[in-house]
Amino acid sequence: MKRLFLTMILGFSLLYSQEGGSAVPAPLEQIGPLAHLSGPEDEVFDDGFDIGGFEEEFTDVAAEPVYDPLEGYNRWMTGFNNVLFDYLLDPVISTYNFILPEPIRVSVNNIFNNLYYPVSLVNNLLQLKFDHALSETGRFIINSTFGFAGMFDTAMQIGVEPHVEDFGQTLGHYGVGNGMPIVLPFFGPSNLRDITGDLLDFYVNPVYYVEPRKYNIPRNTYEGWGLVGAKRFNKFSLYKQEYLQIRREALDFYPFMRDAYEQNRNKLISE
Amino acid sequence: MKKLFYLALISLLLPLSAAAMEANEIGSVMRQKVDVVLTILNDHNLSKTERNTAIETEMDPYFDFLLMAKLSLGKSGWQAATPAQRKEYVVLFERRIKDFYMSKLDLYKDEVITLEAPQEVKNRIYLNSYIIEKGEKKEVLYKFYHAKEGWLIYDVDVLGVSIIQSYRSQFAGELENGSIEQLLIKLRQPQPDA
Repeated sequence: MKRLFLTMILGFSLLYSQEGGSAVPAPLEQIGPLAHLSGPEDEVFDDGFDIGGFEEEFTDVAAEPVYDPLEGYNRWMTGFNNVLFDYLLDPVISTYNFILPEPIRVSVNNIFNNLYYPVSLVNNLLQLKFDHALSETGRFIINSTFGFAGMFDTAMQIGVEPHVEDFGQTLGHYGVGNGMPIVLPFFGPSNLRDITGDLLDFYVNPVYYVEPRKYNIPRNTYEGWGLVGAKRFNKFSLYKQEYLQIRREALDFYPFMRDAYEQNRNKLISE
Repeated sequence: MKKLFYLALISLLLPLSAAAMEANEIGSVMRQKVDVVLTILNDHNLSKTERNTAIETEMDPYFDFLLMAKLSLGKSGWQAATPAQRKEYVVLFERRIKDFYMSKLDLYKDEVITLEAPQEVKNRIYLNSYIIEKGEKKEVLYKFYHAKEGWLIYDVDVLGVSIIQSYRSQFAGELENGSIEQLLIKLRQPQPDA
């Protein structure tokens, strides 16, 4: 009987410690059940940092600060882009989205992606990714014909996946570092390497070398850049809500964007 | 008498063992969980709060929020904090990361989610999932580690962007300019309704 009594006491004290003792103010208790805390609370919150191997997985920002000599300008430009978005882009995108329903904008995006094929091909070849170059060619042929000039990504539906490569990725592939982060007006976060890559992309695109004729698009460099802008604008119109959410939720928007951009690019380069 | 003792012990351990996953179960359990979450999302009779609570109940046992919180704060930040600050931070972080996840679900529109076979990477297990959304294939990677209770998620990569790393950079910036107290002040502010 004594043992049963002991068990019950042990049980209650364990339960109690799992639910978080009296140290927590009531409102906290409601918002976070701390469901995972097994073991006495003091141990959980008093330990040092005994989680072997995890620290190596993440960059220690405190130990190696990000090389960001333009931080002042970048922060300013991020703010500028936010204002630009709120007062110019947002109303324009809202109208654009109202006129063109999402499926059509997805198709527009597909058409732009399909037209990017020559650049992607060159970059796959430069990185000696011959199998990807071949599948990109297959995609271009399938989507240009069965996909109605690229409106539909028919190739993906039958399982031919995209392997888009740009010059920034090619440079990264051959070991060129990111360089300093630079936030561009309208286009948002980038870095020195990718801006160089974007310029190379632009001048490698055969569209740029077409003999000037009346019905060519683009007829000159400005229109070429206009197309690049239109492509980004259309794509951005698809992700307006995501952008707004992240902007609202971020503790500090600029480093968040900088970090997310670099992580995403590093992943694309490593593939 | 002995039996009773074991019964009492087992009943105490039950809530934990319900979450425990063996390595070979990760694929099937996660597939099942994703399907349950999708069913909840497609049930338009539920209010947003009911929906979020239901999803939280389903997914909670598979995330190690305490570890995620620690990793996001980083070693020096964690060690500099007092136990009371740590506790408040963990609670606020858990709420924040859940809100972040839930607000992403608001944007869900019957996309198909495919899961790949889990891969062993060193002493972790990576589970890749794909969503075809707006004509493009998006990759979401769930990272598991072996905890006392079984395999638990400690980080999620979306398009190659690690959630933990992103919080880490932001928190590091806060800690550099101020103390943990200032970070807590920011975290205490309620999230705007997305």
